[in-house]
Amino acid sequence: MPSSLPAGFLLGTVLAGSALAAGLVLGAVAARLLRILLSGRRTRAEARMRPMVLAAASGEDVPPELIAARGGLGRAAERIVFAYLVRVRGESATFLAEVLARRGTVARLVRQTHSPRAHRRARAAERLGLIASAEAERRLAELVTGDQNPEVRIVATRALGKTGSAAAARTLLHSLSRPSPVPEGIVASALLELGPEAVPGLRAELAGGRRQRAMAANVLGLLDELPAWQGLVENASGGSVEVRSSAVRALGRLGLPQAIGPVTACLHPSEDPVLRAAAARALGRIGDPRSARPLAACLDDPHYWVAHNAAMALADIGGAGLTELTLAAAGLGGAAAHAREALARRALARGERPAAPAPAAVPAGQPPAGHAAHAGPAAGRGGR
Amino acid sequence: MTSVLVVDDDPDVCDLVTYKLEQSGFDVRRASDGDAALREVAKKVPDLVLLDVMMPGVSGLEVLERWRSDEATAGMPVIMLTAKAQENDVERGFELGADDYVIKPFSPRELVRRVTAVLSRRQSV
Repeated sequence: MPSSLPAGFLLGTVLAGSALAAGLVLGAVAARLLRILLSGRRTRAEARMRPMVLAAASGEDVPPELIAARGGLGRAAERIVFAYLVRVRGESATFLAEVLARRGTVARLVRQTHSPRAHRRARAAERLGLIASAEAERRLAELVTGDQNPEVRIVATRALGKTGSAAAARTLLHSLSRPSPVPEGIVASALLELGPEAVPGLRAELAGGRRQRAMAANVLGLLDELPAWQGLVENASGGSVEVRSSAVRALGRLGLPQAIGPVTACLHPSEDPVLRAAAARALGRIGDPRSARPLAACLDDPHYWVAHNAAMALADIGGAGLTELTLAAAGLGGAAAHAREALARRALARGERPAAPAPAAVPAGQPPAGHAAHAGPAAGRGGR
Repeated sequence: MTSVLVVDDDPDVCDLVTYKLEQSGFDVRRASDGDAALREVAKKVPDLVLLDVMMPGVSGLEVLERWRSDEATAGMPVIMLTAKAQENDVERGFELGADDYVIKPFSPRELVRRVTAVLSRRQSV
């Protein structure tokens, strides 16, 4: 056994440990007190600035104190303004943006978008999106197309979508041609956020590059922009599969019967299966009974999604479409399987009990199903 | 003075709406959740309620349903406040008897106009 440590060493260790523990506890208490103090100060600053910001948002005269506030009061004022900008639109948003412009906030944020730190550029971009000003929009457009950091470009894209500016639509669409573009879903979301303001730019880009045309067609359909249907028909008729499919999907969303002819033409067996599948779905959305026969002809298409979408479209059309499905369901093979699946799904969606599959027609000279050792693909068991 | 009850769990929305309504001459009460809204209306029925749909606890639609099933509040005008992506809630709100809806982000001036319009329609019936 080692000899016991000197008493002095032990005492020193205990005292040092106690001092350390006491220091940590005191430090935690001091930090807590400091947080409470700062939180109280922040609350008081916001309580003082909030009535002025509310008055400004309502179009009343802006108190000079609101414009001149600096330090804690200035930060409180801007926190409240940005919190309100997220929640309002129209003239209140304009009034609040004017407050920020007069305070020099816009200029400061634009400077921050030049920061070497990506998170600062992104944060400034996010705030600029809430301020509907030409200066803010200009800088955001530069970030969308020119910032080296993909995260900053994504934030700037979203922010540009919030500006409500018609010119922003063209910037967003052209950003798709960049070597490392922002994901298309984010660009689409930003364009949808612009809403009706984006429509002129979108319609113009139906004659643009491949990516622009596909995106423009897609968003015009989502915006339910009926007047754009003729431009969409033109895009459905020629060009890349991507563009034509987007245009066809948009025509489906618009639901115009006058688009049936051009969309049906895309069902032709010589067309790409991706396009044919999109066309089948679109015809279901349009819901015109004239599409029933062309769709029925697609039920035995060798490409799964063409046949599947044709069957679902026939179910959506109802009436003549259901007649075609019932006829097909009584047959054999893939067409029957897709038809039965569509009928069963329709019944389930309506809270009905799906009809029992009809017995498969047995060619002469062959044993009935279930009697042969290998029955082949099980008719009536639905598609894949 | 015409009384309006503003029901929203977002204090900033409540501040904006309350300020604009008071500026327009309404007497405004506030509730930050469904239970508080039910208590406020039980105390005194307001002339109109601005009701947020998405709230923690009892949702705006549940509150509306309860009011419509109570004779004392069945005819109380209600305008829903709903986010852009909640269009299904708007349909359900109308089924339950809401008078109008406002989508967020909202224009405070437009909101006051809708409040005035709903109250005028009710008075002329």
